Amino acid sequence: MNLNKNKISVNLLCVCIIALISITVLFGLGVFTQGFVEGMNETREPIAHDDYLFLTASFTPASMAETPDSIMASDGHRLPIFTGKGSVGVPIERIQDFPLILLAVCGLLTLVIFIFLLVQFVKLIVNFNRGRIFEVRNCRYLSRIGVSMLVLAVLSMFVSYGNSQMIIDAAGGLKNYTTVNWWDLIPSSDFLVGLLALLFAQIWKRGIAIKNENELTV
Amino acid sequence: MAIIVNLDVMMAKRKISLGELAERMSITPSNLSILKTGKAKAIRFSTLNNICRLLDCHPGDILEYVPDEPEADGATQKLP
Repeated sequence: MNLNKNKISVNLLCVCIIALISITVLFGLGVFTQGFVEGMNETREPIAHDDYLFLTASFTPASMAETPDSIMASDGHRLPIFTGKGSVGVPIERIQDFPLILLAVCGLLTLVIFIFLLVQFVKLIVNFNRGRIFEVRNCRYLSRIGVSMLVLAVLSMFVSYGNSQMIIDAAGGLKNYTTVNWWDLIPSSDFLVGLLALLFAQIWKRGIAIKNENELTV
Repeated sequence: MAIIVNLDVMMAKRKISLGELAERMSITPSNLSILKTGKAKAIRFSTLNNICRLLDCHPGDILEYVPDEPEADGATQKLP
């Protein structure tokens, strides 16, 4: 195996992963900052009646045979669509304060966990680059990444459900849609990544034990 | 563990140092020291063969079995 090529591949993959995580962190920071600024502005200016807050939620049409939404094709006739997950605009004055505060706290928590995850990942990659591969601390980093992903997945479910309920409460119920699409609520990819990271941490630990045993074989 | 390594005893009898024995066996002194101090988890037959050849002895002169203390439920009883 060409070790240099392997190192380059590992580092390239890590740059892509770090870039993805950083974009998510920056986006979250941006949303939080925007929300904070708008919240501060609201204390100075009255809320306009046509101000909407867009919440991401997932709803299922009551009947798949007659989907309530459609998009227009270029030839003019309408095609039924099932969006599954989308952003719904809710009049701000209809939203209660407590759910909003709770969701803001969840958003902040998500941001903190993402930053923690990024730090663990960077520590892991730095160890790789220094040749310190078969060390127990790498298993700890992987375990922390796994647990962080699982916590993020649960938070994401909570936020999605909260958004759906806020929309329903603000609208006073929905026509032609069932309340919550439970399958869409579950971020299966986040759960999968978290579980895989935990699995690899255990496999790594086993590998370190075998290596130590081999080193003690004369 | 119940297996005792008496390598240091044989080395003293043959008047050979750890470094010299390791050099003749083409292994590092630290590796051989793992065996001598009883920290080894396993030994290869090739290593045992080299030790016996160089020290002119049998495996039983190097490795000795000392039974562990018997357990309360008699789990370590000998086979008939």
